[in-house]
Amino acid sequence: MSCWITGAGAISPLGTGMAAHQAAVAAGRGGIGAITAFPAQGFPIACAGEVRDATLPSGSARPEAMAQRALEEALLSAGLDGAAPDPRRALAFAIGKPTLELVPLARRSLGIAQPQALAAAHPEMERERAHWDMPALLDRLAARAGAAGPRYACYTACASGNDALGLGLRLIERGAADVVITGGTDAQVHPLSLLEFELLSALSHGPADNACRPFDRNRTGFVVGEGAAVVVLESEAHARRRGASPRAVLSGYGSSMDAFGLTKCHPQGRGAAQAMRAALADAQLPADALDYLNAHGTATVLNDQAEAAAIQQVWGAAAGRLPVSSTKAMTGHLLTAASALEAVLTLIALEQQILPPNLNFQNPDPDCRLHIITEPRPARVRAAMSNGFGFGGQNASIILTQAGAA
Amino acid sequence: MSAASSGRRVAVTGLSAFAPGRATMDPVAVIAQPRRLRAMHRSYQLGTAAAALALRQAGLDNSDAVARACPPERAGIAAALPDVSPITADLLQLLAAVGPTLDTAAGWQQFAELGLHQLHPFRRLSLLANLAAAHTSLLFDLQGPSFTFTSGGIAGLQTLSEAYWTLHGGQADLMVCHAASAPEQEFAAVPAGEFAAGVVLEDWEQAAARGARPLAELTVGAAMDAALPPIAGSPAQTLVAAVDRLSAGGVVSLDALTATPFLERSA
Repeated sequence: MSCWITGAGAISPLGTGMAAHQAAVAAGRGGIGAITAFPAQGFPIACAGEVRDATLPSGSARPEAMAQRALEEALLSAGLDGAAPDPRRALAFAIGKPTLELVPLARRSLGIAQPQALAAAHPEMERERAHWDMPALLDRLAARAGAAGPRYACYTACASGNDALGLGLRLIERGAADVVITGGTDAQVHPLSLLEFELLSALSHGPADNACRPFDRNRTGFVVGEGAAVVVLESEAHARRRGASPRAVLSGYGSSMDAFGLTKCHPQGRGAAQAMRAALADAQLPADALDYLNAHGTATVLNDQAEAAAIQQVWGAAAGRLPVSSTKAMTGHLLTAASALEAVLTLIALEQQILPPNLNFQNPDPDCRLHIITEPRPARVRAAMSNGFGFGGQNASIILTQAGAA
Repeated sequence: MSAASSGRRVAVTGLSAFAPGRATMDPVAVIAQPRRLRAMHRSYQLGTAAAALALRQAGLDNSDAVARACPPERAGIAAALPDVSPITADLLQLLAAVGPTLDTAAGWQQFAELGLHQLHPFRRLSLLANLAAAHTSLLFDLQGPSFTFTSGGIAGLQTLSEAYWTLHGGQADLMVCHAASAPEQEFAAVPAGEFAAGVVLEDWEQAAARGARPLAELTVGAAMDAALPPIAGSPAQTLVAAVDRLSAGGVVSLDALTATPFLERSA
C-alpha cells in the first residue's frame, strides 16, 4: 500500500509556514543569528537558529506551541482540519525533552542540595511537571490532530524525526491506520542545553553568518536550532476516496545502530550506510535512482567524515555525482526535530524541483568527497533521501519520491 | 511501495521480569562493566540488565553468541523508558552558586563558567531515553533496527508490537525488547519500586535452526493498533505484566495483552 504525503507544516528559523520555507530554500537564506532567548552577551555560545516569533511562549511550553502551529498548517493543507476524532488516525511524534525553567528552579532550590528534598519542599512542582509529561503532551497533540488511534512518542536522539516518519510508514503499510500525523518538535535554545552540548565539545563558536559549515574543511561544530515540522501520511486508498492529492510518496525507511560508541559514530559510517541501504531496499530503488540527498551533516568533524564515507560506500563511484546538501547550515540543528524538518525540506525539493543549498561551504574537505550543492539550483528531483543520525549510534534514513514516480 | 512483509512467525525465546515483592536483580552483577555502569542512570542499568538476562535465557550470553544466531545487522532493539529527571544534585549546586543574579547577562556568564567545571561532561548524554538501547547495542553488538518509545504505560507493549512487525516484515531476524523504571530518577509519575523486563523475539525458523526452545509464539491482531484506554504506570510495569503472560507459553496475542482487565491486574 502506497504511503502518500498529503499535508505538511513547519516552523523553524527559516520562518513560519511552508511558504516561508520554500522562499528561504529558493533564496538560499539561512536563519541562524545572535541568541535572543536570554541575555547571552557573556555566554560562550553566541548564536543559534531561533524561531523569531514573539507570540510563542518561552520555556517548557515552547515545543508544544511550535508543534501545534506546524500541526495546524499540516492538517489544513491536507484538508483534514476540523474533522471529528478518528480511530483510524494515528500519531507518531518525536518530542524533545521540555527544558527546565532555571530562574524559578534556582529560587525554589535555595538551601536545598538534593532533588528529592526539592520535590518534598515544593509539591507544586509535581503538578507543573505532570503537565509536560510525554504522555500528557502526546494526548494534547493527538486531540488537536483528531488522532483517536494509537499514539507513539518516538525517541532516538537526533534520528527521532525520521524514526517517527518511518513508524508512520509502517502503520500505513500494515493497515493499522488510514492517516498518521507525524513529525517532531524541539526547543533547546536554552542556557542549560547549550552548556550541555558545549561540555561535549560539539558546538561551533563561529560568527552567526557562517557558524555552521557542514562538510567544509574548516567546520568547527553545530549550531543549536529549534522548531517543529509535521507531515500528514495517508494511505493511497484513503486519500483517493476523499479526493486528496499526493504531494509526494514516503517510499522507504531504514533504521540501524552503530554499536560503536555513545557519542562517536562509527568512523567508516558502517551503521549510516546500513540505514541508507535498508531505506533503498525498502523503497525498492537502486541508489542511482536518487536525485538528491539531504545529509544529516551536523558540521562536526567526525560526523561529516563518517557520513561522507557511508555515502561513498552506498553509491560507490557514483557518489561524486549525487547532489548532497546539509540544510543545517540554514536552520541549525533542531535535535529531536531535525530530521522531521529535513523531511519537509526534502519534500520542498521534490515539489519545487530545486536542490536546497549547503550554505557556508567554501573549502572542500578531502575526507568528505561529495558533490555538495552550495547554492539553490533548479533540478529534476524525482526521488530523494534524508538522513538522521543520533547519539547512541542511532541511524535512520527515509526516501521520498515524486508523486507518480513511485 | 515498500517491500512486502515476509509474514514470518515470531518466537519468544528469552524472558526476564523484575518487580517489587518478587524477583530482584543486581544490574551491577549482571552487566559486570563498572565503567559502563557509572555512565548509566539506574533505570538504564536495569533495562540493559533485563535485556541481558532475557538474552541469556535465549542462549545468547554475549555478542559472539548473538552473531552465531544471526548477522549483527539483523539483530535490533525496541526499548521503552520514561524520561529521566534533569534536576540533579550537581545542577542544584550550580544554581545555588550563581544565586539571584541568574537572569542577567552576568548571571548566565557565571552559570556557564561554573557549569563547565561543575557539571558532568556527559550530562546531556546521560539524560537521553535511547541510552538504554545504545548500551544494550554496544554490549551485544546489535546493529539492526532500533526504537525507543516514551509514550507512557502503553510504551511497554509498543516495544513488543513494533519488534513483532519488524520481524514479521523481514527487517530483522532477532529483536530484544526491554523496559525499566527507577522512580527516584524519573521525570514522570511512576509506581514506587523498581521494575524491569526483557523479551527476546526471533524469527521462528531461525530459532528452530539454532536449537532454541520457543517459550511462546507472539501474534498481533487489530486491537494493538486500535485506540486504547490510557495505561497507568510505567512502560516497565506493563512489560513485566506482558512477560508474566508470555511465560505461561502457547500462542499469545498482543491483542489479549492490551485488554483492559489484563492491564488492571498488572497494576
